[in-house]
Amino acid sequence: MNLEASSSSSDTPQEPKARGIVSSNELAGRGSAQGGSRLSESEFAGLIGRVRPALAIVATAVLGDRVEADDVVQEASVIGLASLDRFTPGTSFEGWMAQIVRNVARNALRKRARNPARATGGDALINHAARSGHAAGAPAVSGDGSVPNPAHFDVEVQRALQNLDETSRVCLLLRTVGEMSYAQIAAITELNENTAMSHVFRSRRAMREFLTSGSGNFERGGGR
Amino acid sequence: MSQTLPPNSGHTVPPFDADALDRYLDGSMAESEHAAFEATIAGSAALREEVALQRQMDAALRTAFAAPQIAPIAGILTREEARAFSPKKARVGWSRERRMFLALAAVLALVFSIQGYFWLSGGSSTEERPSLASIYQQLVDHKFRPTEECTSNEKFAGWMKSRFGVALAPKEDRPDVQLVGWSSSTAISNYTGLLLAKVDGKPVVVAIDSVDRQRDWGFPCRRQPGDDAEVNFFSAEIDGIAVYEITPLDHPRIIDNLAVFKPAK
Repeated sequence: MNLEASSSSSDTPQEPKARGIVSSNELAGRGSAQGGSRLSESEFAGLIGRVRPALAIVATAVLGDRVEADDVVQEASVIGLASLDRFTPGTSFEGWMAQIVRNVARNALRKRARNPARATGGDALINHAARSGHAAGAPAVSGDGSVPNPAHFDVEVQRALQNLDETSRVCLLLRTVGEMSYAQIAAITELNENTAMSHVFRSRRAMREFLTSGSGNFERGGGR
Repeated sequence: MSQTLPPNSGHTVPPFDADALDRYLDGSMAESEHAAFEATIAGSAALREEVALQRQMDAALRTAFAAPQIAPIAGILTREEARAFSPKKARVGWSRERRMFLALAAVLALVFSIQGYFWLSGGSSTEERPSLASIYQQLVDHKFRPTEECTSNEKFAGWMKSRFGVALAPKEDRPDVQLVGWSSSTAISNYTGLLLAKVDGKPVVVAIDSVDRQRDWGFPCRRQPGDDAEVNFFSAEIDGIAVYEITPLDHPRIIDNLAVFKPAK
């Protein structure tokens, strides 16, 4: 798959502009503008405010839960603020914070595993569907391509997402929900752009297959 | 390298350049390929279904995982606020970073206790969802603070569009109505939005969700035993959106003023 050709072609359309997300170059410029000294608290507050939507998506991708992701980003922000001396100005601020977010989110997942009664958001949605009699594993899309039950479809989309590996989920949600360019996704995930793109493409294929055929033959890892 | 999509039980997709489909769905296909590939799609019902399915998936993901409507730290914590949350007498040996850390933790705990309450108490089933009256009371008890400010009709319409796919906004500016901001709840579904407003200086809340989700999840509970908020309820459906105005007033002042937003030319 020649992804390089598609991304470097002169007539390739412009990447969608991410909403409220600072570009990696811009961030690097701001970081290096500190002249090698560490970020001040106010600079940290400004930067974290701008990358916060992306961090929330990263947390959501790990947790599968939008609301719990808010708490994770808050906790990660506090940790980042307390650990400012460990951040190297000029490097990727969003990548550094995203790694903290992923670590905090994984801890939250472990806590959730110990206390499953607190499941909210995505988990709650899936649980609700189970109680409502939606058959897990049944195709969410009819043979004619229609979606007979939108609520069931939404649940199945989330189930399909949860079957991807964590990195694939992060890349897919940053692209689809965050509308970020692959350069921005690469800065956050510390992957290269082509690898991030491959994760997105494979994830979409895997999810479409999941939704049309049910969960029976779904393979982890975002690939067919 | 080209690869073909294997057939599955739901769709029978003929062999074609799967990479091209990936790039088309991603919006990263070169202009030179775009028209030709659209012609290919037009000639294949299976491909059209594949494209439509991806579009529906993307919409579902955006709806489920849209960036949380919360204020950034920079908007929550100023130095003045941090000082206000600091101990009255500075303790010897505490660094500025340490005080900042504690102040940040305190402010964040306060701000998110409201949203956390709704989600932790809301649960997922109809029985566990909070009543509209209890939501109103909780917001009032917590100083009616939104998680995102609403400062213009454009922002209002944008928020509605991103959350519910319909850009509703006030038809006209009413001097007695002040839009405060947005919050969220599980009153109707896991995606219910809350509009906080002041009408004649009194707090009014509008719960908003799609009619589709209301149909799937059930109508919200307006009041439960123990709810002591003296409020009235008014509801309407506007272009596929279900809205519930919870107000201490005798007449709705917000939902009767909502319509699909038309930006000024």
